[in-house]
Amino acid sequence: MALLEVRDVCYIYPGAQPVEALRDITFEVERNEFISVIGPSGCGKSTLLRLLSDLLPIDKGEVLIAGEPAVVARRKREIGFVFQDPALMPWRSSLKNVRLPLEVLRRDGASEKATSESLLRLVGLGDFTAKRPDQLSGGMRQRVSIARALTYDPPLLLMDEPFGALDQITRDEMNIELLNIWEQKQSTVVFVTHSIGEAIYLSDRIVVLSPRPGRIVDIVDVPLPRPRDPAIKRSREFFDIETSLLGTLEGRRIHG
Amino acid sequence: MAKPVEAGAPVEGARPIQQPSRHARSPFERVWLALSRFMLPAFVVAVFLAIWQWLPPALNIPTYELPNLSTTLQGLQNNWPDLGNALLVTTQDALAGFIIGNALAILGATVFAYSANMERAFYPLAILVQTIPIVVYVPLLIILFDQVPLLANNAQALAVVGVTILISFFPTLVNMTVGFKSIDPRVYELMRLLNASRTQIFIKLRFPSAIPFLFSSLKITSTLAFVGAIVGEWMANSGINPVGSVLDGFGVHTLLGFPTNPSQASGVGGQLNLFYFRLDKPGLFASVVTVSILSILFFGLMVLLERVLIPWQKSQ
Repeated sequence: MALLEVRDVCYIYPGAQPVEALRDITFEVERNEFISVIGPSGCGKSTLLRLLSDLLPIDKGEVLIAGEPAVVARRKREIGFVFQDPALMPWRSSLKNVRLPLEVLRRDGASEKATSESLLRLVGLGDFTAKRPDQLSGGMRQRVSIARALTYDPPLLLMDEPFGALDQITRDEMNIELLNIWEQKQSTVVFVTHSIGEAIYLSDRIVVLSPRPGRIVDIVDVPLPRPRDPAIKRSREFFDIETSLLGTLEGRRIHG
Repeated sequence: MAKPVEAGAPVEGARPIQQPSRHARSPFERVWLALSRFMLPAFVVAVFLAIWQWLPPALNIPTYELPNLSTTLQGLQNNWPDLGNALLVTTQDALAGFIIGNALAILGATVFAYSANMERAFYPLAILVQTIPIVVYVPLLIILFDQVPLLANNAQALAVVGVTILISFFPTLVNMTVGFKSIDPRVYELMRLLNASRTQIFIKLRFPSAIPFLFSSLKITSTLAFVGAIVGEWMANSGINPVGSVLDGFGVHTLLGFPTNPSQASGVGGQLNLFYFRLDKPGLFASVVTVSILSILFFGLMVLLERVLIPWQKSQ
């Protein structure tokens, strides 16, 4: 059984002029799969993640996580979320920010403290546990935010353009690290991005959305071998996938 | 995050924007920058004091009509036994109102944070109470307390503290109500994702987010509390002096050269009345100067506390 099943999901933002954000979204994500969602700005990528995590109520269709509705999965803390901005508490140190979910779950014993520290080491911030967010760089803050999402070991990790605000060099580094973490933690990731290269480098499959209202145009397999070396981005196979994805996106813009 | 409401408070840290320097600053420049922050305001104050000292005599105004600096200091020395005790009383009136008023305001804002209906019901009333000039409350509270058997004996003194509570209450209520709402929406979503309880969201997110707002209003109310205390004392000719009573209990009757008389508790406000009727203008001026210094020190304490307790706010 797939870990995440999305069936015929539609969403319309209510209001005086309702905006149709998503139409008939259906796809599945297998356990331990890394899947990306790409599409032009305003195509409902973020809306989709909010629906998957029960931050928005579903109008039509259903979202099942391990066979249960998203509401239940959220209450069981089966969903981790990384936002585009780090969304850290400025008054807390890195370590305490990472420990926040455990505190909320009332699991803040000694072993959990050690978990938080090892997670900070995993994201390369072992020497920065006592620093506050204002004492860290943008990339470092986003690492803290990723470590925080991993503390309670959610089976499903949703990432909403987590590296969108970073410069290209930092972004490439973060991609490499994210793959390392994903391989070590054996988690399932749904990763929203508007960067085609990032999507190909990270993912097993890529869901391509059309402009508003977002519909699934195509679901593309990325048959590149793992573990992936960054040099793979200059390979023939990578280039072919990129070209075909660009074609898909452009085709939608002309006909859609 | 929205900026804390800071109506009427001195805008601290509002120094001119420094041009980014293309070269490293020389030691002289660095020393000058550090000194200028203290030296410039000190210089302005010194010039003001000099004008105060020399201008009235230069214009042939007798110093008993318009006391200058040295006459005021003389007045301070002559009246220290009364004034010292009055300052002790005023400090207690102000502190009692400041602490109770702020505590009640934080409590009120907490209730508002938990119940939108309570906020809708009581926020307009809080504004209404605030729009009535503070002076009106002194006789009002005395009349009110006179009708309560437990309070009737101390109606005047309690009215003074009551006015100080009222004046301290409102800025903090407004600031904390805004502060509890000024949360990072992403962090709030994270808390929801974790299925955090309302109380967890309040303790871990709302309250810390409101701390900078609390300090803005503590800075405002630290000086307002002295205004309330003096207006109250001046009108009710009363005040509280538990410290005097405690010292009396220990057999201590003088402190810093003034008698700590527990029965003499009308504070600086009461003292102003006395000086005014005695036509003791140096005494009057000395009261004003000393109570200003006291209130500035209290304000400074709040600024210091803010720097120490919320360091992330400064470096952002």
